[in-house]
Amino acid sequence: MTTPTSDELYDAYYRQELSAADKAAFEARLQTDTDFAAGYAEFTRLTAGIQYYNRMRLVQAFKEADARQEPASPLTFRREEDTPKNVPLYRRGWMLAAAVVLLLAMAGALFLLADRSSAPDLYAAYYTPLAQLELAHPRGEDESAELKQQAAAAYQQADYPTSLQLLEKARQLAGADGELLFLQGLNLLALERYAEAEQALLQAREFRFRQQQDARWYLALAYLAQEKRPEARQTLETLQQNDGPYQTQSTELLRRLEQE
Amino acid sequence: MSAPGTASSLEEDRLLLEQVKSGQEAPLVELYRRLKPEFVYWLSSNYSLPFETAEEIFQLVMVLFYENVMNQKLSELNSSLKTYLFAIGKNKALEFQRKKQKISFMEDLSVYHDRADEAMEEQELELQKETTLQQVARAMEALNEGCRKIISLFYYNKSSMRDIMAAMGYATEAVARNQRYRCVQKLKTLLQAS
Repeated sequence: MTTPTSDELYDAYYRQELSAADKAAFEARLQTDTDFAAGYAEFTRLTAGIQYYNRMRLVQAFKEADARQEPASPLTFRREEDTPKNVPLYRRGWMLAAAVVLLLAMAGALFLLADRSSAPDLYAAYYTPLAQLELAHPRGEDESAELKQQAAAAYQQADYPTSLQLLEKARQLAGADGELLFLQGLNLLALERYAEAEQALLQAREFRFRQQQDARWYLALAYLAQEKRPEARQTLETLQQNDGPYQTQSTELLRRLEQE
Repeated sequence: MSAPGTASSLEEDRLLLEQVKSGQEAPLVELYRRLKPEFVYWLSSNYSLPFETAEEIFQLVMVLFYENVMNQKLSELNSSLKTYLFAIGKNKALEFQRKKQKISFMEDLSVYHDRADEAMEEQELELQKETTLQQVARAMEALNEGCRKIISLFYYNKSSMRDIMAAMGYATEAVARNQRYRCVQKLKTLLQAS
């Protein structure tokens, strides 16, 4: 049997293929054989670099998945701490959202009577500020949640700059979450800062919160305002497939986009 | 897909673990995609972390999960994958809060220091390590796809020569061994040239 080379020993040690006795001998040799130790130091730099390369490759694959990600189904987003006591509010929200749907559908019907329009015109025809916000109730003394409640009130009073300032304070206190990003997106959209609104609403999609369907609808509108038709179409198609409050006007808006 | 934590989900998790063990990357990415929103929300709200940090922690958790599978530290599941991943995430979040350092994908990458290095300051050694890791990563990028794959299978996935032979479509293990040797030599040459 031939004596293994240093490289073969490095490989076997790294891959944990040495017997206990050989491993002990290897470690003892590192202490006494300078050349062997220097060779092993070089070897570990190489293997650590290979590990690092592969880690970054995986991270890149994750980022690419993020970039092409369609939001997961509501089931997978469901938070375990959602409690039955939230249900009535949630249902009430859907009724209100349905009322918004009806209003928007009426706006859509009026729009149908008008001339063909560009995507920004479609945006203008369909956009109205969100009438009903349903934020989670603050638990205990949660200053960040209080700020979000105040920001929601400011939004509903059309005081969008104040709302944005309050949201920024909330972000500094507790970081971003879905509700915060959603509210931020709504305010930015109202201020006609469409690209920023798009970014905020896109980020909001990463979180679980009550008004995800609303967030998706306003994201589609932000795309429309910027003439981003394929993105708007894709988002509307998702809404159309969901049995939610925006199904009707998404179908309508998609049809209008097809006609152009 | 079943809700995480249910019996059928555990079966699915076990299947997914087997797929990852066999070197399939797509199921890993799908798991990342599926759990990310909930994980990031949970981490940022429970540990007051910015979204970006929670996202990086989740990516690191997924990388460590993959490595634990490959190194056989995780060979079978007693709880759901979600529970397992959230536990790692919790530890990483607490670690981050303690150290207040940027999330690093260089952690646990051990580099042996010989006597010549021992005189260096720790900070200097860290800098040298970072530079070296990036040099090797660039050299890996410069290799052809086949060499990148065989080196990664051997040194990252720690696959056996038999598995590498099968994955690369070589006729014998000896061919796989020779090819691996040539690729490592190419990598060393590229590093010396850089």
